[in-house]
Amino acid sequence: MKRYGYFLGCVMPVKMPWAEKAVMLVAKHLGLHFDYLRGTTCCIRPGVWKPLDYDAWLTLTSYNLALAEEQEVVLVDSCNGCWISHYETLQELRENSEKREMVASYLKGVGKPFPEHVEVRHFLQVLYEDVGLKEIKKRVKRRLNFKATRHIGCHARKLGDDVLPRYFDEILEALGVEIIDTPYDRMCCGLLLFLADPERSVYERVERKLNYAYEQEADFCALICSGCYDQFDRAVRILRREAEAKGELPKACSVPVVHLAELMALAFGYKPGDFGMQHLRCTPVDRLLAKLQGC
Amino acid sequence: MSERASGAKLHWLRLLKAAERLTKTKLSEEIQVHPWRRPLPSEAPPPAKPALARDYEVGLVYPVTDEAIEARATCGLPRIPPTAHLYRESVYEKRRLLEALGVLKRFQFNGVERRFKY
Repeated sequence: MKRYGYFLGCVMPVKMPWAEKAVMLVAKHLGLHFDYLRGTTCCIRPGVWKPLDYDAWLTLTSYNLALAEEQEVVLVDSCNGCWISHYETLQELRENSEKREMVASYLKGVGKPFPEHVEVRHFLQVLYEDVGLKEIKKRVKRRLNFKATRHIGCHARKLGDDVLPRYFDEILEALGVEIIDTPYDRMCCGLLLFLADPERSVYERVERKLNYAYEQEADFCALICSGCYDQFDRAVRILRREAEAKGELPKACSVPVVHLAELMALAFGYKPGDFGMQHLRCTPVDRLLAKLQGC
Repeated sequence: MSERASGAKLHWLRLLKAAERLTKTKLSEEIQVHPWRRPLPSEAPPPAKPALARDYEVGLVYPVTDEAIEARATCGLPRIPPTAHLYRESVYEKRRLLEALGVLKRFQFNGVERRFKY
């Protein structure tokens, strides 16, 4: 049986503890041999580091792969940004012998093995390919009769629309969620442009996405990527602050952004309190939980 | 050649000439007269600097705040995440890698004072 090492990344442990707990609960519930990948540093974020210093990006990302090699686990990412960094690094190391030697030499300098045997999987691949939709459906105790928009994120399309985006949708539907397609489904969260122009790159996009969700009477916006969540969180807090100064609450601030693992945990019969669903959120989930009582 | 294409060609020729005029000025001579035109050696874009500094400081983009520690405990998680926040040797190893890769020097980041020179 595969042993999985969950890569937490930077955002999840400090901004989304409810999602982290839900991931661990769900993985255990599905019978996976699933634990944390210990001692990890930043993934390292490709949007910043790749253009700044390609070799540094490759080496620092390989450091996390080396940890997985050392701990003899399959590295699992649920953040698309972390996943793409690990995935592309692994590809480069396999295809480019020069870079492989360079990375091996740097890693040796800090006493780490070269990640020769490491496998990198997205959490959606673990759920859909390793566990299977049938097994997930079998464990659904409570169908979630919610309507939701979703934000899959750009990097999840790396393998094409038929892989991770489809897995995401099919899992949501297996839980009973009705998906609302929106004109903004392919719009990036704005993370990569945040450093250039936060106003246009993030706040406006998030507002549009969540306003549309509100207008369509969606109960929430579902996502899986922590990098994307970070932008939603940032934007909603700023929109709320600006709105409070004007004395009005924007529509975008009343649609909660929910992680797929939380929905799975709820559908599997866990209570919101089992994973602290109400804590440290940019948008309260009270209305969603009240509706959950009727599911 | 169509009128439009010839117009475009003319436009590019003008740009080329303007560029040639600019490159005739030697920067090394120019900065003797105008020292403020000296290019800064740091290649780190200013908005990315706080995150890069945190990369060095904690090995990750975000530190674990008291609020996050409390929220983690409430969610039933270990108070400190089992990342480099808990395993400090990872941070030291990352710093050694950053040093060996020449990143600190390139971005003019002083690891002792934890700040960028420029």
